Amino acid sequence: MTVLEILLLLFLVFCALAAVTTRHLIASVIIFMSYSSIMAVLWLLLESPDLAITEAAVGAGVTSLLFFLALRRVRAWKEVDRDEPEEPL
Amino acid sequence: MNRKSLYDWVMRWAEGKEDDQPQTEQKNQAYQAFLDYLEYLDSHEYVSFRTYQQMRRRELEEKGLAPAGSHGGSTEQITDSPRTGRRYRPGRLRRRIWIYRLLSVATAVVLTGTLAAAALQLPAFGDPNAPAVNEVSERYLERGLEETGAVNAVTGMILDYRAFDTFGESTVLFAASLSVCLLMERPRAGRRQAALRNEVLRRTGRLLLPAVLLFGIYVVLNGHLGPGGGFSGGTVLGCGLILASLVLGQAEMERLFSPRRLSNVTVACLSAYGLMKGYSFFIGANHMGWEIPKGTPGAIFSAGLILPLNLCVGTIVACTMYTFYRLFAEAEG
Amino acid sequence: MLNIVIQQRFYIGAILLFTIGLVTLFLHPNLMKKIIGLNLMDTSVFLFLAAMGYVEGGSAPIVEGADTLYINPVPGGLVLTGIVVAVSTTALFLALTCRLYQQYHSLNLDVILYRAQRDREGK
Repeated sequence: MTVLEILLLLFLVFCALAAVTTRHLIASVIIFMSYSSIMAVLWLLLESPDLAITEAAVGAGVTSLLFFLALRRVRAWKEVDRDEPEEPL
Repeated sequence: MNRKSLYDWVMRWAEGKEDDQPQTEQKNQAYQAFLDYLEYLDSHEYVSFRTYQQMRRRELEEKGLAPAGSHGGSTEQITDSPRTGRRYRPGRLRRRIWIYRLLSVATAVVLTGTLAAAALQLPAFGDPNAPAVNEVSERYLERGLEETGAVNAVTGMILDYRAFDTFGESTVLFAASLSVCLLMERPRAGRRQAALRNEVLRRTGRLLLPAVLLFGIYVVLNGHLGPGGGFSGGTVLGCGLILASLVLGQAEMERLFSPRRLSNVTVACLSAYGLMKGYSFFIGANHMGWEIPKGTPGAIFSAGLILPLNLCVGTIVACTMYTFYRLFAEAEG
Repeated sequence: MLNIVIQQRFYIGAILLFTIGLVTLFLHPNLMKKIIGLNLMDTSVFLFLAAMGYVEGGSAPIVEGADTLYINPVPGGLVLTGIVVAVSTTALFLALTCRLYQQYHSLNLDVILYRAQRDREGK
């Protein structure tokens, strides 16, 4: 059990590092999703099923979705921005 | 000193002063090109600055905005800027950036060292005699069943012993959804998000939808008997509502869950929570004989007010999650 | 030493995650990355609290018999509400970031500061 916990914790740290160093924003949000899922498993191992349910629904569901939607909004604006003539800064 | 205030001075210092900026028109163009490059990097794969310039020129040529080769000269002037990479900061901050970075790294290292040293000194992980396992948690576990009627000690704690704290948290949720509303809402309503166009995804979503909603409702209603409760079930329900909105299309969803109705329901649930808990504290805490019957522990209608309180919290959380989704998903008109 | 680190693995892991989040918050110029760093800090604190509440050999606090060993329910309750509030703060930050992008067409904090200064001086 201890070995499993240590492996999961190492994976958690690896995911965190990968999420903040990836250049692609979508990729880093997806890595953050997997980070949240691992966190849910760890909470199950810590005998807190309430937290595991909440984290699985929140981290891998709502938060990531909000990130994706915000990124899409930003991209959409960028596309609109591109079509306009170059404005002087 | 002709500066108006200290704040003004600090802002000017942090953002760099006029004399640090490129002056001539040509330099300005080069600078702007580099800023555009930085922006491009934020959301795309990494490309070198030269490749980016070439792509940009090709784009412009295709549109006929620029004759071929007109931007050739500006590349030369900037070739030394990209050496600073993405961390390029304009103005005076660029010169002092190493102080900021050094301080950040030093803070992080000192903080981590201190925390790690403290963590090694903490009572052993999982120690039953640790000071954190004190008489409070013992009381919750030993008398909680008889005092709150909830089998799940966590729910009994957050909805009975510490119910006012939870009330505050629900209010924070409502306030957050209101502020996001203020920030994201447009005067003219955006185009509504259509249903998923991909047939496979839509069918699978349709198949999953009842299961997700049912699981959410189960977790909310079962909060006092097993793992779960208003917060867990509310988030699952919120995910279910978001899935429904993706599968059915937002126009269809708004017939049932209009923004106005969502906020009305949230306010009604908050008021109901306040009234119920106020009643409970007014009567139950004084032990005047009008306590709400606890029922048999383990039955679904037990634990006094915890079931309706769970319902209220679950509704508030689900509405908040769905409101966030709706505000962010509104397509640009 | 290694024994203690293995024993306190959850605390050490939480502190490492906290540091990663903090450094990202300080040093990364992209606002989205800053929000991800903030989320990392959030979850690391939650992990720390949940680990504090664990009791060796204890089971989840679903009270059935008097003689069973349970984990401490207090951190669990605190973290449960904390997770949901963390989502709402994330949504608020994302909304603010979208507004900044709308104004300055960039997610890079340096560029935003530069353009804000330009705008102010342009008046």
